[in-house]
Amino acid sequence: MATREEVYAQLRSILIIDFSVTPEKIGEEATFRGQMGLDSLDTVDLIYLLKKTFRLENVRTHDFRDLHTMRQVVDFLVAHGKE
Amino acid sequence: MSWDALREKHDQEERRAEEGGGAAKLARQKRLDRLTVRERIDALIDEGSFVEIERQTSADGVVCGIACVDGRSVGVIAHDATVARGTVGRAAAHKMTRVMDLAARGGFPVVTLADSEGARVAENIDAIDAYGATIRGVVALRRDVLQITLVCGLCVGGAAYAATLNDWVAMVDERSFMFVTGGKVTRVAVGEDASIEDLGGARMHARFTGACHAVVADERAGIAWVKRLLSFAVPVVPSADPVERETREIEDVVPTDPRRTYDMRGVVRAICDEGSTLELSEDFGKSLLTVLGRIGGKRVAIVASQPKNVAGALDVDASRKGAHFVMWASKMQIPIVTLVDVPGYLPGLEQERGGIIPFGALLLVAYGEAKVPHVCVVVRKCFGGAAVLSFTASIRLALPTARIAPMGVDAAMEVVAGAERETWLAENDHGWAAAEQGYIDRVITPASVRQELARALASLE
Repeated sequence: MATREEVYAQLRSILIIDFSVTPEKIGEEATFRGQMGLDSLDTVDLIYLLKKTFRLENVRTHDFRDLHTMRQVVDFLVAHGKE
Repeated sequence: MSWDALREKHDQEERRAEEGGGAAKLARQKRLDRLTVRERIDALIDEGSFVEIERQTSADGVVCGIACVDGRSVGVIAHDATVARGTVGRAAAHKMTRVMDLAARGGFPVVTLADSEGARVAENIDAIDAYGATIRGVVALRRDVLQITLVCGLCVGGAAYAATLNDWVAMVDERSFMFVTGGKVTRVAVGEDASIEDLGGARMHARFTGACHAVVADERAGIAWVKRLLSFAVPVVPSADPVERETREIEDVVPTDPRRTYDMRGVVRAICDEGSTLELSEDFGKSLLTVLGRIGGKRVAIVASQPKNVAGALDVDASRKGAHFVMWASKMQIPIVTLVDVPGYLPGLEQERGGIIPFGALLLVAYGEAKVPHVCVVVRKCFGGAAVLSFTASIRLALPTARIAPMGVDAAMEVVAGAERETWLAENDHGWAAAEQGYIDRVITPASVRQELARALASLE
């Protein structure tokens, strides 16, 4: 089971490589749609990558609906991920 | 420049054309388990058959060409999301319209593999003009050419309209989206905060707008669906299923008790060659089935009431769906078979407000103007204005369970004053009553439906 720090690092890496988010925009309280500049398709793709990377088998896309910041998503991944 | 240098330059240009938005973006497509634009094309076409048009501008958001699918020519327009998200500007529109021109001249189908955010805004007015040209091209092809779109990713604005102007659209479940504008503009313009799935997901369009005619599990399944649909451009194929095969199983599907419901798909399966059916718009207008199939190898467009849903009554969505299918069958010269079990148009405030009169009329127009052989089988009820499903047929067949009337029994008993129920039923409530009055050409048994249909269709060829 990955630690919170490992999950954070992995998510950060996905955001930089796959969504061209600049590192300085990434932080615990940074919002995906706001500060990090992801649009609606990016969000769909990000959720897909998270489900795949963290093997979120019983998690639905809808479950991410109220998660807006890095902190919220990392906590969610730590709680539900199998990686 | 030496030949060595020219060869090197050539190889460089070839790599650039192949890579589209570059190696990093292609790798991202792979991580997202999306096919690259070239993989999509390769999955669709016969190996080695692709003749690319304006290849040197392929790194401009769309790859276009002519290829063979199962040995027959097809125009291919494939957006490349790795280049400016597949947006269309002047260069892209130029080659898209060239494919359309070639398809119009050759009369062959055009398949669009959509993955586009719409017009390339950076090109400003040129982008609007470019999309105008592609839309004009799609509209011009509508009369004679089969056009199919598989939405693989985004399909926004002009791309969404182009797709919807095609004959058929499939969308990849949970991975593809079709809308006029995305969430941000929607929020600013009308103050609604909607998810991308709610705005334009595959299931939303399949169920509510009817703009998606098939929801497919992934891109490869979508390409298989496109190829299956293209196969119906061929009028006759060899069939191992004899047309004389009895269809007695229809007796197990259709209850003689008019109050009991059933799934008309069982009848459709029985009459068609084994494994030949392809249902379209399964989740939209569910009281009417629209199915492509073959009888004795010959293609048929089957319109069938679905008693499982609101007793087979025609509502707004079913009328729209049926009209689109019948008009398309007429354009493609595919004979129509109608299986009737309809209590009429669905009444009610919601239906009246939703346009049951204009959309119901559209179905009347579609049937009335169809210029292809049309054979119907009245399976059970055939009431009211919706009897158009049977009365425009060139040849009208009926099972013994058929009941053709201006309205249902209970309503008729209210209107026909003084009629004794049992006497009235004995005189009117069976297939022979309509046959005796000349409205039905022949009452047939369930076992003979397939062979009678084949015979009737052959007589009209």
